[in-house]
Amino acid sequence: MSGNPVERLGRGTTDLVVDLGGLARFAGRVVVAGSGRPWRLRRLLDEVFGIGVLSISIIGLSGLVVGLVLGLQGYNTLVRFGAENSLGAVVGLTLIRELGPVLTALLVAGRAGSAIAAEIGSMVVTEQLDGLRMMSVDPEDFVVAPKAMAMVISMPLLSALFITLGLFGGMVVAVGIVGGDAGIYLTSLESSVEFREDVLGSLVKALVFGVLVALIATWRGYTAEPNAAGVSAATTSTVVASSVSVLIFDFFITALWRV
Amino acid sequence: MLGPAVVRGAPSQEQEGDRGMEPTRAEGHAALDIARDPVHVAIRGVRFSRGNRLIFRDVSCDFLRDRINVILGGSGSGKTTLLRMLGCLLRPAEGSICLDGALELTGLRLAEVRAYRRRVGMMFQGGALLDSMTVYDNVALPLREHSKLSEAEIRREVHEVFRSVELKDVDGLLPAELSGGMRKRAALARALILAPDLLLCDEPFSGLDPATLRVVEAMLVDVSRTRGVTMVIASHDVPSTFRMAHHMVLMVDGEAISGGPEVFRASRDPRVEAFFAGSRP
Repeated sequence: MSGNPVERLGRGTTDLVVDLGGLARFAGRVVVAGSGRPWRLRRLLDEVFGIGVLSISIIGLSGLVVGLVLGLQGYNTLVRFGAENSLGAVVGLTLIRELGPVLTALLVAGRAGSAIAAEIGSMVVTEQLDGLRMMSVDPEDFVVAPKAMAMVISMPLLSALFITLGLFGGMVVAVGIVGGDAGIYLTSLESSVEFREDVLGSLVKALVFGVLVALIATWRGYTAEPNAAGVSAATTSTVVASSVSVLIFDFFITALWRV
Repeated sequence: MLGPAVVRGAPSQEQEGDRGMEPTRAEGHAALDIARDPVHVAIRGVRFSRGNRLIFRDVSCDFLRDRINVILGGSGSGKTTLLRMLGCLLRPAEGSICLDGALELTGLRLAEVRAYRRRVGMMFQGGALLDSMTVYDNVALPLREHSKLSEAEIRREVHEVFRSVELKDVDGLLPAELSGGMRKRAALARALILAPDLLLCDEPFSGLDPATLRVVEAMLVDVSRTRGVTMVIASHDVPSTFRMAHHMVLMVDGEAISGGPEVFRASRDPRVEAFFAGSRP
């Protein structure tokens, strides 16, 4: 980028505002397109399978491993204060309030978000979206809306799966490795986790992250330059922008609503 | 200097040869009965840039009704751009694109564009078939979206159009499983399924071996003859153009030179001679 630093900053800011404006208009069009007839249930289910079902293994495995690590780290810390009976509470609150939705969103952005951007971007390159337009079929309705909706539906469910397997991983450590009691682990977990504040808050976070990743991935793919480099850039920027947005929104949601 | 040319009255090649290089008289349109007007699409004074690059300085030309119109030109001359303007995928900065002497394409709103596109079929260079759907579903898609036909009726229509483009046993195949020629034919089938009165074909012969090229060429001629559709083909294949075209438009230096094949065969315009470079039959 040429020009002095002030010019570059101004141009960068203008580009960002233009990009955000485009994203907002795009989001509005997708919501309108997706909420009207015809209902594309078959396409939605296909996308839920591609985004949600095919992510189960990576999310499940990651949740389990994170739970195992949290269990070990938590135990090693708590035992110094003689508070090892609180392991269930520490693992549970950490996973439910924070790590579950955030790590799920980061993983899904990397696996499914990048795939969405690449798929839509390659449809731009191969003129498939123009082909739809020439058939008077709105690509935002036919292609984008089912993918975005599937992402929004899948994210809370995947986050719940991540948390469930993470809690199980923590219990494996508590019972199988450090020789604790399963009853104490579960009692500690149950007594510290509030359904409304923690569990519902966690699902809301996951839902917000799902909206973020869905919008960024579809927008980046939809506006990709019609060449191989454009698709590559769209894929990369989807992962980067989604991850950063998730972390920033996580801070604000936590700070504003204490979720 | 050659000007944009159009032929009034019966659009035979002989007449085009006689008058093909005369300037267009756009003002005569209003007086013509639309049903008899041989001009299906009239383009006047179109200007278009991409970034800093001027693609069309001043393009004026006509496309004749129920005839095969071929747009020729070198790489980057704007053949596909002009085709995309006819499909309302691009809008010119200035100028007019008028259909049937009445419908101004450059001023259409989105809903009107969608209604217009139901009358237009477009065959893209790479086919633009949806690669996640089977060939059958690709061709059936416009009917499923825009008609109330039952699935049995859709099946009948799709197989009918498959027969007309000589495609067999492709229902369950994905586009990636088709050869280049078959993909072109599948794209043509999809473009024809709503029985359009304007068919736009972007480089239908690119990437084809000579034998397959002849097959696709014969198919397009047959479609034009049997379906009475106005065909606008962007191509750089000179021999096939002279074999099949009723009307030709040569894009050169941001302008259009148009006329019948006989006119282009005889032309001594240096821009025409430079483009054909001795390849005219």
